[in-house]
Amino acid sequence: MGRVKAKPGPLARRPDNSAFKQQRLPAWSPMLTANTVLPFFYFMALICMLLGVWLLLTVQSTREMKLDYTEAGTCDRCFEMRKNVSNAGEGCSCKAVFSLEKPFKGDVFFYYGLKNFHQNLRRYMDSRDDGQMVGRKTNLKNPSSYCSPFIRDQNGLPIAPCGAVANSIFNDTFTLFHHDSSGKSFKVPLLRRGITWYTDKNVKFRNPKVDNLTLAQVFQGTVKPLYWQRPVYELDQADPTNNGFINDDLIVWMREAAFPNFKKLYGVLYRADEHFTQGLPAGSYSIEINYSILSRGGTVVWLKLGVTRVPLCAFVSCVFLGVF
Amino acid sequence: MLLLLLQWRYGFDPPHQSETRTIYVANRFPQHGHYVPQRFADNRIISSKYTIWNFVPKNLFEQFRRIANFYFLIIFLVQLMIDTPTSPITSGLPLFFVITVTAIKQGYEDWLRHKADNEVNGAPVFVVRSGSLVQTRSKNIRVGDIVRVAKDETFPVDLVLLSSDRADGTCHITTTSLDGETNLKTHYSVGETAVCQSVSQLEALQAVVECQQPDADLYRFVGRITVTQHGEEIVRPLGPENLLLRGARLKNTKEIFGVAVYTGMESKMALNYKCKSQKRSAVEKSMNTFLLIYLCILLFEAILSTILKYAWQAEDKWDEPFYNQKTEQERNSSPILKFISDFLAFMVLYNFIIPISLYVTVEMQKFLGSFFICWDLDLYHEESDQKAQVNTSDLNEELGQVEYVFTDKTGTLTENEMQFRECSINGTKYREVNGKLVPEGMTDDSPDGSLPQLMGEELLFLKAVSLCHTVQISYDQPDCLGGGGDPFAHANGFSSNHMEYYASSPDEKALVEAAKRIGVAFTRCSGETMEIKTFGQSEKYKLLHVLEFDADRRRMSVILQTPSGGQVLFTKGAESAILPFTTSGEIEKTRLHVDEFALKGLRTLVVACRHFSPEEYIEVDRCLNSARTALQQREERLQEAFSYTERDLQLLGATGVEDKLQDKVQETIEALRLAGIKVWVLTGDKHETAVSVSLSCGHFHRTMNILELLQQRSDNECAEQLRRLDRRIKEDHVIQHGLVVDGASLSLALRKHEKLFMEVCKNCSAVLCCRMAPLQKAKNVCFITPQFLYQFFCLFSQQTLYDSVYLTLYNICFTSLPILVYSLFEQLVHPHVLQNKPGLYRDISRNSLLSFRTFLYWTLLGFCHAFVFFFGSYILMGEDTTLMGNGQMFGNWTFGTLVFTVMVITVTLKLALETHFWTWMNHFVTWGSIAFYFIFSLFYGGIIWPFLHTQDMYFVFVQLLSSGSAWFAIIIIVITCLFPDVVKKVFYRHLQPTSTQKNQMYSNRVAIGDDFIALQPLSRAKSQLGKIRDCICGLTYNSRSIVLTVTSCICISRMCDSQPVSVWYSFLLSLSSLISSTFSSSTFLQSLPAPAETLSCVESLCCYQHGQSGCSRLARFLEQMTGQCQAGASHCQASGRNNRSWSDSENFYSNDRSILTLSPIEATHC
Repeated sequence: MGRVKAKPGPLARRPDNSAFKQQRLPAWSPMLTANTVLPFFYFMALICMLLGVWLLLTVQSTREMKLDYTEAGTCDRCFEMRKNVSNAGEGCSCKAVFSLEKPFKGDVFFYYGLKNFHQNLRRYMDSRDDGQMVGRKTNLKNPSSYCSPFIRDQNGLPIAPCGAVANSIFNDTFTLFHHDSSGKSFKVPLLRRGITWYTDKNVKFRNPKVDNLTLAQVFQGTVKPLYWQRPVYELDQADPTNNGFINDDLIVWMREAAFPNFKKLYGVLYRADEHFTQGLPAGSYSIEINYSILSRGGTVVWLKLGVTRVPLCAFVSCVFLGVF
Repeated sequence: MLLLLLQWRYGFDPPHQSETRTIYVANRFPQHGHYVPQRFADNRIISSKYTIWNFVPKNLFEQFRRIANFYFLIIFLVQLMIDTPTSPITSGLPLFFVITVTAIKQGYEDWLRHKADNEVNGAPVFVVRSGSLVQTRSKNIRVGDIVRVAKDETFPVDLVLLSSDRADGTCHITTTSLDGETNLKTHYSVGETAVCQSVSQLEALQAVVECQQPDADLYRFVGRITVTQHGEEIVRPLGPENLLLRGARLKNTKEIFGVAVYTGMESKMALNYKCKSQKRSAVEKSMNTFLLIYLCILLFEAILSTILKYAWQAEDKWDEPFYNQKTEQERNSSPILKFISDFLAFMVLYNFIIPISLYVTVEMQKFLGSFFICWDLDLYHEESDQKAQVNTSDLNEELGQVEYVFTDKTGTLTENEMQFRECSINGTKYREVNGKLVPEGMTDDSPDGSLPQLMGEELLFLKAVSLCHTVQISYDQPDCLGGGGDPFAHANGFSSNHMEYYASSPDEKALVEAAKRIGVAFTRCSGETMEIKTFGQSEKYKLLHVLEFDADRRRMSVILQTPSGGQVLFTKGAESAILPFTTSGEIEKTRLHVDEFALKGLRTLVVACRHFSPEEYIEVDRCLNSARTALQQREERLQEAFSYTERDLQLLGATGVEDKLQDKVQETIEALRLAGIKVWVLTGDKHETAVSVSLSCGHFHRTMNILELLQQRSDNECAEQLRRLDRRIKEDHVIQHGLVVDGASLSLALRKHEKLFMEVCKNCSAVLCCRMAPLQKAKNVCFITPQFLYQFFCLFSQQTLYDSVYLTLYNICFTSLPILVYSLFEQLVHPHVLQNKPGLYRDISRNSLLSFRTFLYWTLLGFCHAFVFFFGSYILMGEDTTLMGNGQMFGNWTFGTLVFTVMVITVTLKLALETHFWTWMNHFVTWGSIAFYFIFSLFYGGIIWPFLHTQDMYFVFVQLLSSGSAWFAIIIIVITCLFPDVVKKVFYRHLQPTSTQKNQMYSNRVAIGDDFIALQPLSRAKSQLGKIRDCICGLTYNSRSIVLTVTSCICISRMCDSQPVSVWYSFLLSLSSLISSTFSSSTFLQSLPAPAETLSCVESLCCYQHGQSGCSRLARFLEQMTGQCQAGASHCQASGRNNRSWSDSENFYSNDRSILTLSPIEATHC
């Protein structure tokens, strides 16, 4: 190349004899032959089979129960009612019953699920303002234009939280009862906290700075989203600290699902209660549902109880047992 | 000096109206008369493309002419204009990155060019101005300036020689850097100016040079000089022998003065550079094809998506679900506009299928790869302290794709060191033994030690040999040259000790030296007298005319005045060029002897003479003089005059000169053949000579079936013969075939039966292919396909699966480095193994690694991977699976991140699987890339970014990694993707290993095995390599640089391979050993002052025999054969300029130059 090296002498332009320049860097040349690859495969297969066996065993102890309450029990009434848009504002509660053949031991999680609900539409997903949710005051009164068409109400007041996602929050509420053999009913205690990611609850979602004001005062000048029954600062009437943008249900809902059929965590069985230290006993149960607007338009809603274990085993054994 | 891609942007066609230019020496314009000064270019050489001012706009313009860049620009603009799923940054930033990197590279290359230009333009020169010698810079020389050049300096400008320090006004130059010839050439000045040896005399000189406008032909110059002396105008002709070309070097002469005629970009050297268009390697071409295919896929996906979207939306509930109401604006916009914007949005969404980084990776790889070529010790020649130069990095990968090597015989296969062996005088054969001529059949001991008595014919023959030439004499003390040296030294016969012959033709030199040994020594040539010493007796001949050698006549003559006062013409040349004109002498016997010599592989020349009667001579003299001074059609008139002069010849005899083979030629040709490279030897020798040399150098094999296409006189005959040959080739499948074609037959074959001839010559239809390009694209396919699949799940709402930042960085950061390092450092096979097994070259030639099949394979693989990524992740966390122990759920972004993570790891590991040569660099970038991805993701997800309206990625990655199941899934999916690949590799290796793979085994065994065993072949290889290399270097470096040669050989080769540089580079390493003389044919260099178009070489070779028409035909033929018309076109342009250069540079007048030897045409391929 055009450089003139300072090296004097007759061989001034001789290239350096370095390993790098001469492409003689020490190198490892692995070769894929049956001899090298097969032992590795066998090893992997062994590990996978062990894992598969372990997973299969754990799956044995996993229980899952799914209840589609769209038209179950007395809910058909509500379902019909919700079909008619005009009485959207009216409350409607209904009851469904089910029974567990075997007890659910250990942690029990309580999910709600939706079918054919597209949380993954592009404009829907964009229709939120994380700046507002993280507690920026300017965004509270001046939501991002992405929230359109859910930025302001007819009067021009800003909506908090703005956007289509928040607007369409799933706000059915459930109360679960256990009926033991003697006919006594116990309310199944559900822990409605800790259902969100820690970082979401504590960093990503913040209420605007309260100072000495109450939450209601902070949200003064904003209106609740169109479909909501209560404003954001009154979401949880039982626990005042769970209100505003840091409401667990809101946060859970705001983490949009990837697919049109999805489930979201509703609560966890509170096992400190004496009847439920072992989990859910077998027996009959009933569930009271405050049926909300989301069920409208044929969206199917179901409830799911389950002990979580990853159903990976099937997948794994598929792959590896299939291969060998 | 680096001349990376010497490319003149603006083709320099000076807008001169008149056909001649008038140059007033020393710019002394006439005082009176209506003189309109002509405008000439200044002496600046501009090889750079840009200036500081126009760099940005011009470079941007050039870059956006590239399809991919332009495409991304459009995408970027679309993103700016309409509401699209990803932000404009996602395409803007990579585009910016790519543009910047390319601009930096081009800027750097241009800066080097600027530097080189400045060096050239700023070089100090001496110019005669206002009566004294002034030092100035090269760029300041104007046309008309008188320039002084000292010994061993190069000429800064095209000069007409005015005078030298010698009395006869001659000087010696070497044109090595222009045409690769190392011989000294003598250039002359006109007698009237030759006397002006001092500045003051030059000052008084009044002269006007008229000459043609500049053209690129190095060997053509027509002009005249008008010198005004004492009010009288003397007109003298000027020819190429008066012109000193820029770039040539003054030798053996203390200093010269010359007047500048062509300056700067108008000099012949510059004009030869200029016709270089930007070369595009076949890789780039196939890349473009592949890009188009991907563009089609993209369009298809976008259209399909749009249609599906509308099909879905036909149902009202999906068009506008209650939870996702439309804005007013959306409701009101026209459906057509919406449709278009939807389509564009999908285009934008999927646009990453076109890999923006492809070009940049390829370019970087070439650019950096060229550094490695320069650094290569194997390509360094110690004797001349030269290393390889990369003139353009654009064609690097073509180096591994050579299919045809065209080589000259003389000076390439052979050493061009001639030895006189035999001669035939008057029908008797003689051998030279110990400085004596021994007639055939006699022993070399003459009865007594005294000088043998030579008979009249023998003496005349020897005199003819020692007089009929253009050999120069150089003495040990060059100072004596002009003065003629010490007269006593000549007198007492010791002169030989101080004397050395210089000749442009080694044959001449050998002959003159032989004559001297035998007793007729050429001792002096000063001005117009030639002096020979016949057994001690000095004889002076007056040189009346030299009828220079040219390729058409294939002979040269001198007309001398003998001491006795008579005029005699001596001529020598190819047998076919002289025998028809002979009228007396032992013609038949001599013809027989010539054939015998040829069979022995000797180069033959025939010598004849003609005695003029005084009347004849006067007529001849007049004829020649008028032809020489003619301004119009001088060449044609000279031809007429020459053929008028050279007739009625008396045959004196013939000579046989041996040209020794180069060291290691045989091994090299053998290696080339094993490598599947077809060698064509082109030579002017008689066909017997050619065949015997071909046999001895291994070009033809003893076992080879030699086919002949000789002396075809008519089309039909030729076609018939071709068909016969074709049949024979098809019948014989085992034996290798060699083909011998002579010039006349070749031109017939090419004129009418190109196809048939091609059938016979051609091997195999070539195939396109790539390695890295598909690899990269397949990345990109699997990158974007999940996106496409995802649209099925989100009602074609154009939701992206990945975060914008990931989209942006995927090509730039996460995946670019490993491929670059891979391409630079990969060595499939150990270089030593390569050197030992040239056959491996076949694995990569014809671009087999860049074939359409490979491309399809990679694309398909990409799609498969994409499906596995997507559905693997979908099955894992799809509808409703909880992956975290605390029952919490993941969302859309976690899913996207999972797919993305799997993808980054898979593509990196896929490349790792392809990597065979793991240096620390590979380890570093491979694991580094994955590590970087993780670190980056952690960082990116760890911050609430201001200015973003959504914080989609916040802690998503951490949450993902906190799930054991996700880890498990990542591992499983990656393994699933790569598993079939590994299995396939193993199976192929075991079932149908390519020879490359076999040799990987071999090399490993050698390397791992017993040290002793390992060392043995390697050391042998090394020493062998060393020798071969010397051989190459010796040849190549005396002209230019090896890469130049290699490149030149290569461009004929079919295809390319964006297969990483390193791969072909390692093959280049092997090539470097393979090449040797054939490959490094200095011929190529000679014909190509500029780096290297092989077609042009071939053209020039062909031109030599059949003039322009023949060559264009051969070129066309070659193009068809190589299937690269586009490349051919650019070659042709260049070659048009260069074509004559070869012919004249080849040393002349050996006999019949009409043999083209075509080497092994393997039956199996035909």
